[in-house]
Amino acid sequence: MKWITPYYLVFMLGAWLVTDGWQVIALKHIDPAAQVTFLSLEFSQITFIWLVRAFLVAAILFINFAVWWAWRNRSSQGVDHARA
Amino acid sequence: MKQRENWGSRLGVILAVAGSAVGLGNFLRFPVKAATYGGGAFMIPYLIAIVFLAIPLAWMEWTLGRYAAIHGHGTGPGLLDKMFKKPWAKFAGSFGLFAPTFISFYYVFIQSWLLAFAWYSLNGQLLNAVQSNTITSFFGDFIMLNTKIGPIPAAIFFFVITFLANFSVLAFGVRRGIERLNKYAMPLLLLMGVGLLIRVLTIPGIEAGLAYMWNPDFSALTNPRVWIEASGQVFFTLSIGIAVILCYASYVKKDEDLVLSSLSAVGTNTFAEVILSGTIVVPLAMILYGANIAEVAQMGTFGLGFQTMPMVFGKLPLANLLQFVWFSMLFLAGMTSTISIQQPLITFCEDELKFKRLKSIAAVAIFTGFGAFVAIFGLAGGALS
Repeated sequence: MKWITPYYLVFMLGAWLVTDGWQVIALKHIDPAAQVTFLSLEFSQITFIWLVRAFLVAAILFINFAVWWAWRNRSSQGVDHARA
Repeated sequence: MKQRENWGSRLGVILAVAGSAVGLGNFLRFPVKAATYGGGAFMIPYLIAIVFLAIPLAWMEWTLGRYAAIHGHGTGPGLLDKMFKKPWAKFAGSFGLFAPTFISFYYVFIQSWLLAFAWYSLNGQLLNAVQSNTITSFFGDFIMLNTKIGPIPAAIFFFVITFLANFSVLAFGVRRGIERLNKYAMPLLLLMGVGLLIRVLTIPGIEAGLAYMWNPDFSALTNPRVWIEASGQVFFTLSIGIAVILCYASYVKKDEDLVLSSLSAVGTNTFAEVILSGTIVVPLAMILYGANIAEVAQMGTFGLGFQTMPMVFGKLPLANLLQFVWFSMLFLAGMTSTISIQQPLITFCEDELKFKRLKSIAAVAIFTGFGAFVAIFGLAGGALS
């Protein structure tokens, strides 16, 4: 648990990044000419997937804003925790 | 510090964590991966990954969940804040919120397909599609929102029912909602699985499929991809690394044996995956495609679950019933998993934002509903890519 699990984990993650991960992240498997329709709007598929990724980043920022908000309120109530 | 809820019993928590783990990955993803990467040979790296990755990481998440609960937290931000006492820590912990929540964006939609197909099994539409050899277009039209119930796409109709059902369970809380659901759903799911298993084992000619799944071709083990995919499957199937177990474990009573509970949950999941799914799906699919296992693998996760399996069941007596049992089993597996990936954000709202239960449910429902909207209407565009 102390040695095998972390190295196994890092090795598998590294192997995935080299074999598949980079292809997926860089959208190498998507045909650049492919077009899609979303709510009657036309996009190239690559643009659309990047827009979806932007949506996910926005969702991450929103969740982190909620985290910041929660700790800010705890600060004002004098709860013991790390600095907001 | 506000008193947090607890699971009512050890059986309840084991079934809830097992319910989180036993999902569509067990019955749809695992068979495709096993079929693609050597059948029996895939089982060897898979079981090694269970021992060296899954069990230690599950123990770790259970322990972190208990540690978080001692300090009044049940999710990543509170846990990491307490552990590292640095301003960045709570933001790093938000990974444990958005990872499961993002999965729920599309997972609920897929779960709703299962409800729809269980319904289509009962009313005979699925069997008609199988018999008229139009199952591919039947499935495609449904998920692309072309099948309508009146003016409403059928997929949207079933999605709304599924979405409301999930949040209705969550609204009752950990003990009266999640635990109670799992206490009924998990035994029923396993019963359905064992019923299908017995039926499959009595089909003439099933031996070839069983041989493929249970006789390892050791030469496949030299392919590094087999090892990567087996490890990936372990993460996917056991919901480890995304703080779902951590959240569930934060509701465990202080005197509960975490090691035993964790092993029981992992064991239940492995039984469902290796014994039930491994014996039912690939051998059954090979009856349709013969020894052409590459064709089984090419069907993909959804092709195998939503087209191949109904086609094979369609050739057997009591076809409607078998199709219904198959999709109902998957729906229960999907539901117990979905509520587990929606719970961390609800827990965060309750523990950190100090929302009441129903306000938390409403906030998370709006947030995940918005994400699901993108997944549903962006499906054709590759939103899930």
